[in-house]
Amino acid sequence: MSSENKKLKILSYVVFFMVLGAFAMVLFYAPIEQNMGIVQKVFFFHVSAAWIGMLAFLVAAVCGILYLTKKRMIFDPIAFSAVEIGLLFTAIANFSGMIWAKPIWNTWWTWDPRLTTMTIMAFTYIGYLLLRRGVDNPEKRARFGAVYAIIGFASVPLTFFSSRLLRTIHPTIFGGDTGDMAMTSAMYQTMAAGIVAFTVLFAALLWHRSILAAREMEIDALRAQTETLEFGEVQDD
Amino acid sequence: MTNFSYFIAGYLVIFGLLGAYILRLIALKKRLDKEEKELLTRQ
Repeated sequence: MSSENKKLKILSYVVFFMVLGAFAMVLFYAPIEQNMGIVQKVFFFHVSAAWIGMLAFLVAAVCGILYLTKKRMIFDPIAFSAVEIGLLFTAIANFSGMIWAKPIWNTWWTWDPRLTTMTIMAFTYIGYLLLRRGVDNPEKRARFGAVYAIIGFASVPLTFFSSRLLRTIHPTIFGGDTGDMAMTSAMYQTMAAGIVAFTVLFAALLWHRSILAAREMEIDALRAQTETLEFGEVQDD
Repeated sequence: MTNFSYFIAGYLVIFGLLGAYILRLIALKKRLDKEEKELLTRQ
């Protein structure tokens, strides 16, 4: 096993125990919120997932800038992987938020500015993944992906500031009104543990996915090479 | 307030989606190993 693989394996084990530890804090350390009851505990991982969604799209935009300036192909699979993982965490944030909203807001969904901008952000990045599939040339695809990731990043601050600048019923945990939710220090510590665990989980997933994405590209090139060789042999016959 | 079932559902969704994505990565790795082996044999 190479030292890179060994490091990744160790990181994967560390992440597993960090997420387990954060979940244990949710279950046994954080108190039950007075107004909302136990469903408020979904919020700890919901906030962490939303944070990772935005962080992932930032990573994709930074990789896009690096690709355009340095022209190194390595940034393309990282950007692609970051977007895919970002969408996963955005979906987790959206669905867990809906489950929290049902008993608290008495509805699964409302066209609140935060929920709407979050959905726009998710569709922006679904578009990135779909449109990439339409480009066969790896360099064109990487260039297109880089430009898209940079422009698409505009949806991230729009989502982040929507609950701070617009009238919304969504609680704003950092630098805003927490609504009906009374957060104690144990709750903040639990949320911090969740954010740290998910950030390390994101790093591990990004590492795994980038390796696989780079391998996918290599295999595509190998397939093209094999088909060219086989086609040449058929023509010679 | 009794909303325990929503709490369970919330964490089932969170860990379910994470687990599904990890399984997808494992399946992708297996597929790539197989494809690479096939292509190298053809060459």
